[in-house]
Amino acid sequence: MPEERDELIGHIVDELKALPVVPADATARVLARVDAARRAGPSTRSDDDDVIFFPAATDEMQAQSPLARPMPAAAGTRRRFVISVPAAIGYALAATLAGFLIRGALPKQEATVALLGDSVVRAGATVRPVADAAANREAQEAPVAVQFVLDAARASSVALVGDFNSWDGAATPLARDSASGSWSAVVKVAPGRHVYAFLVDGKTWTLDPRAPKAKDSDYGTEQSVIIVGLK
Amino acid sequence: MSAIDMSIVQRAKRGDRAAFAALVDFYYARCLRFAVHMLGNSQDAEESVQDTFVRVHGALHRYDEFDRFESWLFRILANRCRTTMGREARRSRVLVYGDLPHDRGTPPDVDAIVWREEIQTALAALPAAQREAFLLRHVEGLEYEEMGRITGAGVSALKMRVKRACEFLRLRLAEVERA
Repeated sequence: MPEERDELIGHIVDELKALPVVPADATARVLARVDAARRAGPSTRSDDDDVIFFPAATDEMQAQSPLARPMPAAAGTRRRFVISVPAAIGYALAATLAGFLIRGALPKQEATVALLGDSVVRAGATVRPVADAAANREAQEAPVAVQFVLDAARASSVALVGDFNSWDGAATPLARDSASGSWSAVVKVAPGRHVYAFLVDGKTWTLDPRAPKAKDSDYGTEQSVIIVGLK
Repeated sequence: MSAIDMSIVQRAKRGDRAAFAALVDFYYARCLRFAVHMLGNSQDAEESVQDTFVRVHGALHRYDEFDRFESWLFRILANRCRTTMGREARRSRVLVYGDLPHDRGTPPDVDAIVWREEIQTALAALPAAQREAFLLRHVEGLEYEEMGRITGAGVSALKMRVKRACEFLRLRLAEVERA
């Protein structure tokens, strides 16, 4: 595909390339916000829930689709790609049936749910909620103590990084249990969905094998997921 | 614009505050330009850029130096802009451009102002995915492979978006330029 830039587009681009005036205090405000985030400590928001992606089915995809692309015509004939309504319904039913079959074949996985209250729960464990906790709003919003554990006998250090500690590699070091070789830390986490990982030896990004995984929309890396609160 | 000295990024990654400030200084104007053109609102753009750099600071230890820093930064910025657009779509939208530079010591060139406004209006009328691709390619000067890493879209899809954006802008602005 040839580059689409001509003289007119060049003029438009020249106009758009003008850099805006940067407020004199822009960098100072960034640094102040960074400091405030550090002081605030564990974050209660889930950073990834509000990321909006452009729809996958865009006009250019339609343009490239075999359904939209004209078929090459044989000499003297005109051919069109036609799909009948009954065939379309049949394909839809087959796809739905295949979906049910695949879903039935996969093992069921429950989200990691932490108990509300003072007890410590372990990340990655599936735990039932307290039956009458829904009636107590304060209890619903109170941070929950969660134990994060990683088996890494040969590691010299392990730190917990997540949205609840601003991904600060120095904020939550794990303590080593010399008997088992596992590392653990107990952290108070606000109810909600959180993503996290372990930083082994200060450099190796390691997921929690006990927890579900999710891809971080912003940075492209995988993370472990914990959902704290009522199910 | 040349790329930033990677030693500054490495120092910022190790927690050097002055290096991080230098990094913000270096990229702030470009990020703000992209955000203003994407969002059409200087306040939202400023907020998105501020938020981007706070997130960059929080995630610097995860930055893989095999990835170009600029691509990584724009990936975060593009996502911030998308998030803001999603929020804005739920509110009534007011098109407010501001702070575009002009020499305040000379009388304003009316034709230039009209031309600039027409471009901004046409840009705002583009579908967001096409606007993003056009800005990354032609204004930020990125390669399609880098754009793919930023947007998550394939190279052919991005080329198509840029092509359609150019066609749209040409159609909307050819008459204005001739006038």
